[in-house]
Amino acid sequence: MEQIVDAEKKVLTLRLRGDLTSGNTASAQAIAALLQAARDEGRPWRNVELDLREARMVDSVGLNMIVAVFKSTQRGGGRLRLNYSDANVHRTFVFTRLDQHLDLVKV
Amino acid sequence: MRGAENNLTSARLLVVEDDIVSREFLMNILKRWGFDAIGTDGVEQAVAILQTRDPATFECVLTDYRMPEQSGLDLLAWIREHDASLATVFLTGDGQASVIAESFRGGAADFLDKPVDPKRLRVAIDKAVARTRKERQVTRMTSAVEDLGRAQRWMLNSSPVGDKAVVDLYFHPKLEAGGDFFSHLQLTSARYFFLLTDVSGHDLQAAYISAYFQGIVRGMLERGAPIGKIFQFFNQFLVDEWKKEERFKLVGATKDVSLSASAVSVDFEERTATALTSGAPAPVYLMPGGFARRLGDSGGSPLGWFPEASISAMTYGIAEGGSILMWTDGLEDLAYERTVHPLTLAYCWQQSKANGTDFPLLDGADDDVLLARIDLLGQSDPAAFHPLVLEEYELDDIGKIDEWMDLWRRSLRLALPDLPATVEHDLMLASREAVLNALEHGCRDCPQYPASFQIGYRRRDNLLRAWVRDPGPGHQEYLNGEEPVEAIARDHFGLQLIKRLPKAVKFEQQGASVTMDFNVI
Repeated sequence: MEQIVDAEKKVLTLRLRGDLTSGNTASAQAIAALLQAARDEGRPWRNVELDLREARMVDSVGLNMIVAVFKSTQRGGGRLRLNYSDANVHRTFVFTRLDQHLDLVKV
Repeated sequence: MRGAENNLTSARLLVVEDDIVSREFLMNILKRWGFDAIGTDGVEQAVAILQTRDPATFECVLTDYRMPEQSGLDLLAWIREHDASLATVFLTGDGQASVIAESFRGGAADFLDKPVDPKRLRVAIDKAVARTRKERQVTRMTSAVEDLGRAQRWMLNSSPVGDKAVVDLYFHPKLEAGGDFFSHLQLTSARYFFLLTDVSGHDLQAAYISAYFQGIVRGMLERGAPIGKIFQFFNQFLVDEWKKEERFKLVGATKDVSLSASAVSVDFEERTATALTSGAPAPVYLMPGGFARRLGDSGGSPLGWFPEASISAMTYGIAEGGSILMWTDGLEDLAYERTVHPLTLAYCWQQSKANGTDFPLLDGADDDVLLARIDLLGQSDPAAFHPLVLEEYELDDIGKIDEWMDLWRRSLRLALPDLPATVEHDLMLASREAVLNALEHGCRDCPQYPASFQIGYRRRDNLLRAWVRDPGPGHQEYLNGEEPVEAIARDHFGLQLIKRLPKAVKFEQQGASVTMDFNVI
């Protein structure tokens, strides 16, 4: 996992490794840490970028993680942006209608 | 073979020497030692003698290197072409290293300087005769094994069963012959019996014991013995052999024998199949549509390991038009090694045979591999799905979902190498969600029962089907209606993926049974 904070733009970028599924405990831990940090006061970002360009699959557990980050970011008055590269990952967002809520960017 | 194995002096030798004094000296000394020596003075004459009497009746040729018309190397070349097992010893007065090297390259057994030292001559002749005999024994054994292998393949491919079943057999021995056998028996007009056996080892002994057991089973079955009793009887037979002191063992002190077997008795009146397995993979029953189930439990210990035989026996209902697949553990081992499901290998093998092509993956098998397909009451249903994956998963193992998916993915890629990536993704993801849902919800209240999962492929319309069954009461509350967009707040993404990724999805038994179809194109 790679985490980059742009304090000036108040953006946290979290670059995830591999698929975002129930089996990817490293991603789950990284997102859990992000959510915990968001609950703490004084975080230097408002907006979050999840970088999913390595993911070829996102399962229901991964989608729930994204929704949790989405809600957390919304509560803080910020925006969540998802960067993806795989067409099947995008289809997953469409089939679950998350594309209607999320800012999806193909990279 | 002429003479006793150890009686080298009874061997027939051909002495080729143009110098009459040397030749007579050699003939005298060889005859005095008891050899049946025949002498001649040139290569042309030697070839004529060998052709007339058959090279196989000679066990050594002793030839001069330098002769007027042709050299000893010319004779050696002729011998290598017509009977490479016949050892040749060279004589020369030259003592040149180049001649020695050339004769050895040509296949000579030994080389002697002239004048010949009788002690060295005797050693060279004895070694040459022994080498000829050993070469010929290997050739005979190889030929016998090849004959046996041909007989085994012939027996396995000659399978008229009767009017109620059609058997198709697939056999890939590791060596020329092996310990895998299949046979069938019509017990009454309505009862058929199918038996697959696998004896440890890939040799003549394994083949013989396997065939012997098959014969015992047939004989005892025809006299009314229950198959379970027959398994017990043979188990005791093998265990008794193991218990013997080594010097009394019949099958060799260092080689204990065990036998894995699976048997299916089909009663067409009762519409039942009773399966017994002992250390062998459980047979798989394919329902007419292609939905598959294991008949009994795989594994256990083979016959011959323990005094009490480990036999799994279960009876199931069968339907007209169904099929049964049986295979030996060679297929199971190869599948494990390649991380694909054995049913995928079975499918690929059947397709290769149908297409008249090789299935080279089998060449990597470390064991004999035998697969039997039994179509009940006629030919297989063209509308049936070929099973590619058939697994049972327990709640405690839910953390292995990625391993399971790896098996599914690799199996699909082997069976359908041109499968589009999008179809693979959708099947993988929807199946993952359905299996996780079955385990987390269906198995939660009854963790002792597994969820079952299978993938089937139907060539006719290029359709992949995934089935997931769980033992729970169902999940009806999740299934009704379309989620509102606000469903983003609910944890039902799994169900949405199950519903939307396949071309078609069917929920039965309140959702405890999910069937998902995917177009391959």
